[in-house]
Amino acid sequence: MNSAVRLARDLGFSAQCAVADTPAGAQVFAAARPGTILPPGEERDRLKELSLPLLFHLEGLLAWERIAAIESIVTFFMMLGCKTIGDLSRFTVEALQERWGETGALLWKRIHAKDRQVISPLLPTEPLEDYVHLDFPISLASLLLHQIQKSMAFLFARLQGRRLIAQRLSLILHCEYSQAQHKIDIEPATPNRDRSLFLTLIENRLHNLDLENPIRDFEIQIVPSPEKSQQLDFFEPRESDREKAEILISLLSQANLKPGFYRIEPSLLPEKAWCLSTFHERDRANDLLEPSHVEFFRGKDNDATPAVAPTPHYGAHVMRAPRPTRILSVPQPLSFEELERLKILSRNPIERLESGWWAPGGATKRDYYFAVSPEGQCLWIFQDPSTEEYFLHGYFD
Amino acid sequence: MKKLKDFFAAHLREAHQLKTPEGLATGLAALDRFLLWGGLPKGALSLFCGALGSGRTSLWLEAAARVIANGRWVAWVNGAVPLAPLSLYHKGVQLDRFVSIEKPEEPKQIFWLLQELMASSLFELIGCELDGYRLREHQARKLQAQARAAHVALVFLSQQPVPRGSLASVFSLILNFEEKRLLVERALHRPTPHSFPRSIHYARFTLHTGDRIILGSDLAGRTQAEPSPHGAQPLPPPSSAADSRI
Repeated sequence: MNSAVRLARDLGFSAQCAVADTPAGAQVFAAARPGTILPPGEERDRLKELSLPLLFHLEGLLAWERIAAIESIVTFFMMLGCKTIGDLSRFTVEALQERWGETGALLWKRIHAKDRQVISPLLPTEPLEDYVHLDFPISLASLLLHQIQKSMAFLFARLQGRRLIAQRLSLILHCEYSQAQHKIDIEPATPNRDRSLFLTLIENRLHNLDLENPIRDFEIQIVPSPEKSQQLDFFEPRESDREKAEILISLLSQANLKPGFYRIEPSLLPEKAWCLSTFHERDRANDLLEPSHVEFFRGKDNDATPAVAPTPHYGAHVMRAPRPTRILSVPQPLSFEELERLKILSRNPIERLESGWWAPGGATKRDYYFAVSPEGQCLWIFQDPSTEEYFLHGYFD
Repeated sequence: MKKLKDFFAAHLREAHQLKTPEGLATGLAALDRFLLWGGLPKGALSLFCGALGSGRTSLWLEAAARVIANGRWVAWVNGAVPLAPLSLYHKGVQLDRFVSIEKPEEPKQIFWLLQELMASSLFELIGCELDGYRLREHQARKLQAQARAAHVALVFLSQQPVPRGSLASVFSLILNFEEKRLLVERALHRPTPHSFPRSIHYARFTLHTGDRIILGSDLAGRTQAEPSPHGAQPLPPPSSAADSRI
């Protein structure tokens, strides 16, 4: 409890704390006697000792709808000579309801510790966004980063409290001398709660911004994602290889590079049979893959990871077919002169790929051959039987 | 005799104290035996020169497969013609420790990218297809220092002719993939140039064209020292995937 209070104070809130049967009772005791811990079932009796003006704090998660009604109740009973909340507990619920309506009935319930407000982590009340109006306009990236850091501190504390991780962070910087604004979207390779990583990514983007028109206020919004529970080994290092890779991939992605891990795609065409994916996309793809498929493609020896396990569209024999180490993204047509220079190494095709008319992009038919160029390059070429045209598709480099 | 022993005492080492520099085995027995490191040198720069389709990538992948099998990470920087992962799948490479980066739009980014990769202290082997990018000497020296500090084997694949002069001295190992032989142009502490004859083996085909090897497993025991001919030039590389021609 003390740690929670200390954390809240560090974040700039004036926090007090108490434990009671109901949220309303805890709030009253936090205001009257901070640090109180009431044994279960004793709230009703202990409330009787408190003074009447403390009724303003008897709210809990649901505030009084009309504070004026509470003011009139307190004034009325003090005129009658009542000084403590215990004096009110002698009145029946019907009597209070008759005079003050729903507010009276709710007051009776709270005095008798019967207003059990549900505290659910599924119903967070604080938004995962922040708006900051700066006291003075800022045109230095380092100063601006310092202000952003403060906001991120409690936004990430909220994430931690709700067991969420940040999938994307949007930062909107509003300029001082016009309606201009800069929008920065930070989306790391994998959702995480690493505040230093987000700050580094923001810092890199800020340095590329022209802040000649200084920033007057900014907004931060976090798009959360549920945390994936992970059982860490006792001896596992704090920063694993995976975390290092995630940080690296995030940095490279921000520099407009395209890093990732290869993932096999369900396509008959070799140039479309893989893609680069991040950890997050890979994990998601593995989650979608049915266990039977994973088992089928892993085989008995469990020698393939789910990341490379193809989907059932791809037959195992196709997976074992020879493939060059380098494949052109778009097959290049070979002219007659270029083809004449090549030495094709077999009379019959070594492989035929054929898709039906229902396939996206229409029917495809390719007869593949190995070929050697006069310079000794080993090539993978194919002929389209319909047009009899030859294409260069890869290099056995 | 005693005087001699006393004189050399400070310079003499026990046999077990002598340690060869570390390397990453390529799987080509003859090549690994020939090189001091037993493969690609760690903490140093290597250069594979040759045209596309000359077998450079296969040799790098052989080393990468062994690194990944040992539980370490590998990075690859693509060129205009990207690496095909299905060939890795055939080699049984676990792709979850294989980070691949598409060819940077700005060639200058390659230098920054390689520095970031090495600074991450995640990788043991990094491969980079240079395409037409010419690495400057000061950049190469900086990368050399960083590779030494991070203990990374950094391998460049180039379609340009073998560099000469001071730039060549930055590389601890330079291999030239010629049509009929694999030529070791430079290898520290070894007599170079040194060549290996080649023949082609792939899948179920054995091609006795007298040309060269793609996956040369039969290099063992067939080596010979030859002078380095520099007359023959490989075909110009494709400037982009769309311009690729043989």
